Amino acid sequence: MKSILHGVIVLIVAATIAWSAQFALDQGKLGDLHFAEGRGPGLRIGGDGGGEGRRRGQGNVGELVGTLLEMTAITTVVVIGGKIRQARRRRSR
Amino acid sequence: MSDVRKRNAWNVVIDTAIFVAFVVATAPRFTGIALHEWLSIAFAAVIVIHLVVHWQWVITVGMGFIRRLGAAGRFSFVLNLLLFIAVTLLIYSGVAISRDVMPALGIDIRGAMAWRGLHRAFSNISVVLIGLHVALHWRWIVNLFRRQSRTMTK
Repeated sequence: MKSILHGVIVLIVAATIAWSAQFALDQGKLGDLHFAEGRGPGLRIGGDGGGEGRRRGQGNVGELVGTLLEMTAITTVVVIGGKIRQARRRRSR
Repeated sequence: MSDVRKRNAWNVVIDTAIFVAFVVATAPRFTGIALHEWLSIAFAAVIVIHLVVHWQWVITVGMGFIRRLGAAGRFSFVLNLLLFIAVTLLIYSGVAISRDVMPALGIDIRGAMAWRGLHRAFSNISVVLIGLHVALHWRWIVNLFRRQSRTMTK
């Protein structure tokens, strides 16, 4: 029962965030934003260029590998950074 | 198996499912749009379960944030909050531009084209935030897998 209540709270908060974004879009606050075609920030490998009007092909593993590489890179940098910081702290003690 | 171990085993299953679903769902050119959309719907449902399972953490750290919490705890809370907002908007924008799931469910949504750009932006932001989320919990993940493999080999 408690879990269901918690789930409902999560959904209500999520719906509020979504509604706020929809409201902002309806008010024209987000509509004027321009996004680069095809590529967002970060690494993307493979793909057909990602043009909006283009019918996307299926079975392109490059995109999947790109996302995995991107996440692995971020995780590795942060984990190694944390270990270096930890080692420095230990040494300074 | 003790209750804590059982809970941890379930956590591993749920978290692995979320991670795999997210990575595969971020590659619509790999899966095709229909699978991308259905997988994302499943991902949204498992995210709710993930939050319910970790509800105690949300409350404890949330309250601690208001009172007194270390820099690491505050960073983790803010990161998770941003991740929740990004994933919520990612899912909502996905629903708004749905071509397969919503029509299949008989729901006619004609979302504004701006959602398309926002969907891609939130996807890229989520990739970065999930990478950081995994990194912050790296020690927990490694310890959990070590413990699980030890119990399996016994």
